Amino acid sequence: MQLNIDNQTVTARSGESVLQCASRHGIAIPRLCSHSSLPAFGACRLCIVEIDGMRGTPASCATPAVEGMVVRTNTEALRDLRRGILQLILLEHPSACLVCDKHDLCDEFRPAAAKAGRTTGCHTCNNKAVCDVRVLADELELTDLPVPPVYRNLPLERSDPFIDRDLNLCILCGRCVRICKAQHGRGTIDFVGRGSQTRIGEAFGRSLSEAGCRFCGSCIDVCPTGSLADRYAKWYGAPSRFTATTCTLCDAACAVTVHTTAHERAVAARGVDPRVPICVLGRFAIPEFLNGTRRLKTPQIRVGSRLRDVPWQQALARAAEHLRPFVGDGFALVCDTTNTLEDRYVLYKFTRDVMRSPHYIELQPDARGVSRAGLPDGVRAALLTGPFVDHERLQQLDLLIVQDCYATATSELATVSLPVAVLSEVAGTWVDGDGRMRPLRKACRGPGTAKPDWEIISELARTMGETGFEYESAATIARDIGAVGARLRIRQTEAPIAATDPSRRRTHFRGHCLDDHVGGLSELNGVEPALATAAVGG
Amino acid sequence: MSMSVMEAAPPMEDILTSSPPTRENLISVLQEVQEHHGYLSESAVRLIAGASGVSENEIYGVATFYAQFRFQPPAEHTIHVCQGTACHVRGGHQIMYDFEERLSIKAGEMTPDHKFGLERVACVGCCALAPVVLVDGKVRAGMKPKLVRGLLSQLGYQPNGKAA
Amino acid sequence: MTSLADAYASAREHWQALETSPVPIFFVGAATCGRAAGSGDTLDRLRAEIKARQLQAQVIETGCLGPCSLEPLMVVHKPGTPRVCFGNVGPAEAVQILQRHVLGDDPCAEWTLGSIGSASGNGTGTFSDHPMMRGQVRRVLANCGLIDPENVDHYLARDGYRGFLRALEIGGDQVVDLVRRAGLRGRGGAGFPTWRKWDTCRQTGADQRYLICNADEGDPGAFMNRSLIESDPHAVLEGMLIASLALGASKGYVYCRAEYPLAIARLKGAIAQMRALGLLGDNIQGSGFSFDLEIKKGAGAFVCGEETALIASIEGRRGMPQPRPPFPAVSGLWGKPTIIQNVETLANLPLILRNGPEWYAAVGTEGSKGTRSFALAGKVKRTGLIEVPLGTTLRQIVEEIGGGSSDGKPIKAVQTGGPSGGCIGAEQLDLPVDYESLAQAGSIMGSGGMIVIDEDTCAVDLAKYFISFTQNESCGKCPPCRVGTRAMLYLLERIVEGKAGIEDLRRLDALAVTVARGSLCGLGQTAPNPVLTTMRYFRDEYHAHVEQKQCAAFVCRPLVQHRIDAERCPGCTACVKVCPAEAIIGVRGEPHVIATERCSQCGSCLSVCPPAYAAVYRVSGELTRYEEIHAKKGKPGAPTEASAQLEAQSEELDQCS
Repeated sequence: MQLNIDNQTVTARSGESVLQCASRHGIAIPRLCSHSSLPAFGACRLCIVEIDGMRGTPASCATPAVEGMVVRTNTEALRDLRRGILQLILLEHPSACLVCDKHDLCDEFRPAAAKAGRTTGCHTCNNKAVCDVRVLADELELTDLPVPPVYRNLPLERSDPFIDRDLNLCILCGRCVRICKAQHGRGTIDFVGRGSQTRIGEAFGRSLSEAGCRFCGSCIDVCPTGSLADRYAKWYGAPSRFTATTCTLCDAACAVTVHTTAHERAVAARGVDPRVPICVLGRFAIPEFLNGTRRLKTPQIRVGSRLRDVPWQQALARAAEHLRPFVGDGFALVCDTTNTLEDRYVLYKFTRDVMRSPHYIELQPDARGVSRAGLPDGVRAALLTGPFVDHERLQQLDLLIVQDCYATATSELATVSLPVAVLSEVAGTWVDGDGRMRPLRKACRGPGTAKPDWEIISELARTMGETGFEYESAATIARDIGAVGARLRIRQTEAPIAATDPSRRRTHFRGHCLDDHVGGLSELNGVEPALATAAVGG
Repeated sequence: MSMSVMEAAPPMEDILTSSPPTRENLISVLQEVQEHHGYLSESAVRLIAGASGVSENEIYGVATFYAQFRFQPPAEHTIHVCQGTACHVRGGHQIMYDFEERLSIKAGEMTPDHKFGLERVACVGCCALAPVVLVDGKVRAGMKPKLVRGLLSQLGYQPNGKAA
Repeated sequence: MTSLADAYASAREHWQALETSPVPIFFVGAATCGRAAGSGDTLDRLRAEIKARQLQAQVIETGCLGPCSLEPLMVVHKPGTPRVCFGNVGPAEAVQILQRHVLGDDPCAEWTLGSIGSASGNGTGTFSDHPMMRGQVRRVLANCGLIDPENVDHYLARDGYRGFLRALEIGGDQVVDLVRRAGLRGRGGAGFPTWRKWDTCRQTGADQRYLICNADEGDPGAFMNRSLIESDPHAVLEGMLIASLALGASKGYVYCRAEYPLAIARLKGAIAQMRALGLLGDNIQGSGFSFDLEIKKGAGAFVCGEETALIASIEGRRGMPQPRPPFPAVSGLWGKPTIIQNVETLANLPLILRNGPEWYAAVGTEGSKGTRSFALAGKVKRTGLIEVPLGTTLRQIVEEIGGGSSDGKPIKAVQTGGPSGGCIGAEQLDLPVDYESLAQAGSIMGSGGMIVIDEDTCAVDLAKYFISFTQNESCGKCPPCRVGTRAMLYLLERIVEGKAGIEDLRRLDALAVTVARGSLCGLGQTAPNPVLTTMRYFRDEYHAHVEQKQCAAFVCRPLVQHRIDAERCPGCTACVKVCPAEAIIGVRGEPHVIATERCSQCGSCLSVCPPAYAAVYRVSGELTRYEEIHAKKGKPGAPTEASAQLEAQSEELDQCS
């Protein structure tokens, strides 16, 4: 059907709202409470337009497009009214910076927000770099407020893991309530009270954890102000890059968008399908895990009782030297399926062709992500990609080489310890729980000189004089092994288990207990790690 | 409402069996529970949530919207001062002020000993007999500021220390 | 289940028996306002007296006849004489009337308001000729006060449900046509033509439609719906049957606010009676039309008078309005086409069906047909529930029916439409009361509340009162209403506190426009009306508050100083004892003095100073106001026993302290 919007003839789809139709044609209408993945709510009253034949100023988000409609979106009267409405919104929001006469100078010389416990204006607001309200204030040329604003002085909510809430910044757009309801059914938060006393809250003032929050972070994703914030990421400002990749913390393999800073550090990960929540691990664990201070950053070799940092060449040479005597079935290699297909191919090839050993042990993590294995009797040397084997057994070995992401008791026993890049630090192909191939894309760089597993092993093989390991990238390996056609899991049919019930999340990744590296996890509902399943032989 | 009335109230299980709560009749069920028990306790809300499939948070969100619902037991005596237009032009605000002064509480609050609660009510529809107060639900018309003290005394109010 | 035909027959008999009863009958008005005036005590005393004398007599509790300021009302049937209506009948008066009028021959003229029906022949006029009743045309309220609302026979005997039976005969399409020709407009607020609203709903090809009777009546100052439901519940329910037939709705809800417990009880009883008569359920009276009814209680939210908020409330959700379109007539309760109709609109339907659209439209104006009930309150001598033809002027209502100013002071304005309406200045008293005229004057008809104010009401304070009400009741969803009304209230508070400047008036104007145009629903859109109309008719008062720090009505306490005239004050210490700020200095026998710096302007001293001295006076800006010195003056209306007790107790306490 045809409509006339601002003297432009546009074609609308059946069931579209006037706002959706305008957006599709590049006609921008100011809005705060409407969101592309939520049904219209009509609260903020900013998207109002004039429509011939309709009284007053209908909200374009809630008005279905009808054949022959004549719409005006940007008259003087509408701009004035929108400005008036925005002024009112800002009466209940720390808006001093928006009406300050030093606003432009300040933006020029001090653009970044200063970190503060309590936000009293844009200058100390975690949302400054990406704030919808600031953009609107600019667009609508806001310069003053009609009466003094009121700071509601609600207590800051900091007692929950991962999510910081400052309800004094809330403009009651309702997006958080609506997305929680849409994604979870039984919502955790709702509007509480009425009129000026309205706030977003839980039954009887409970904390999010007590109220059954799944910590999927969707509310933070949709909040237009700094009211809801990801505690880890909140002060990093606007991300410089967004990379779509796959989360490999469990075999749901949800697509995530990883946000990275100018220094190529991951700061946040977000779900991609707005209809379905991702779990607390995919949403919050990735950056903290990747940026932990105890990450292995440089190769190390054992000198006496200590591990010493050395350059790669030296570490690999030492590893090669020690491995040669153990070619044969006295050697075992243990990895698990958190590794990419490329990694596993190369690890397997190394075990079979270079070390000529039958003991390629590829572990399948259990429901909790725990991978544990024993070593066959007779194995005297091992290369492990994680802390999969009992300490006692490892102490019996003559040679232990570890390539891993975090220092552990296992890596402390190693003769050579090599730092590995994991998760969104690597590219590759991965297989999910349904057997489908999912792509990993490199979003950020690993710590120090950490490298992906396949690269380390390839270099080790070459150091040992082998050919057949000249791989330039994960993509070349993928071609070789026919791992083509991997697709991101963008559309979910249902939420992963841990997204609806965080107590069923995985506790381990690559042998490491996630709780040890991601602060807030231990505050969630208690989880009992199950015992390891039997090792899968190679 | 006195404690003895609340003790005689049917237990939640009985109420929920005779009126199974769903999304649709949620408000009616909440009204019934408050009628019998005097207020909505945390455990009552939990039981209603379990029986209806609506989360406690949503039930709380609905209940806090409506002025009728309380989450603490009511005072022994509740006085509603009508703040309707007719009552207002005939001095309703003065009467509210007097009650607030005498009881040392604001509208919407309860005295610390839970004996007296003061509420405002928008209009009880007796405008021709303004100003009106409700004492424990019973209408007293033609109220005057100088009758406030006597009314409270009738209900057993004893000011601590010096009489104002 | 009795057959309807049998029910009519026995109802007629019953009513006849009542009309020609050989024993006396006392009809006592016992609806909420009657009881508030003390008719409960009257009833108790009357019954006790009848028992003590072992009289053969009947006592029937009726609803409201209308003149609430003369409550308790009692109509007496003395066999052989026309029935007489008495006013101000407290327990003592009831006994007197029984003794002197029923058992004796004394007409008890001091309480007589008039005879019902024909003149009594002994000089007392008819009730319908009483100055309060004369200008009224009681159609919708015809049964109120004359029948026992809990006895369905009374309703049936007076042609109850005949309208519905006629509707069943002619069918839904014809019903809509009758309603269209009658020109009925919604009586809830906006005045939308009823037939057109129904048409939108009827055009939807839905399998289920709903009818909701909006008995939320949240407007402070409005009690028409309450009174009607308490006095004649079946009138409303019959209207619902007719409307549902026309709409093709099979389920109806009455949404009644919880603050009306008697109305709810009456509705429950009436619905049970309907069921017993076969007027509810499947295949009503064999017509093929099925309909059932449920009561939903409001839970204390004024905004739930708005259609989409009301629907949300019935659906068990927060009463936050939704943007429209879609309109409820197309997609409402649980997504089905729903019509929400006001109590009075529905009560008009049986009349239209019984008497025809020409009869209905014979009264009223071109654009506003029929009659309309109003709750007349405020500073008039005669307050109560009235019903007049649309087009009657404000002057006729206020001066003729209402008897003019109650305190002898000139009338300042009439407030119509509650918090969504406006104050119409006294210079417009000749305005006809119809939808268009009121809108042009800046107000709305609204639900029918009509409050008269005089110079003792401050226009600014009244505007502040209404904004404070809407602020409290705002649902909070949209910023223009939630924050805008708070901002307007802030400015109004500054004005009454004497802290405002002239630019604050400009800001108030600008905010009023933002709130009116920007709000999501009717509550917010009309919230600025009281401010806009008072600024239109009483701008000088606003300016006086701002520029001279003066409140001519002596209402805005921060602008009023209380003083004591030393020449009038004999030193009785009444004020010294009540002053909560201990700001009055003086010993018994010496003139007292108010220490201004401690005075909180509460006004307690003014209210206790005996009228014989009237020593406390007030100053505001350039104005001074003294109270009149009186000997003990009588109160309008009989004091109830309850308030007499309170009075005595207060005096006792005053003497003790």
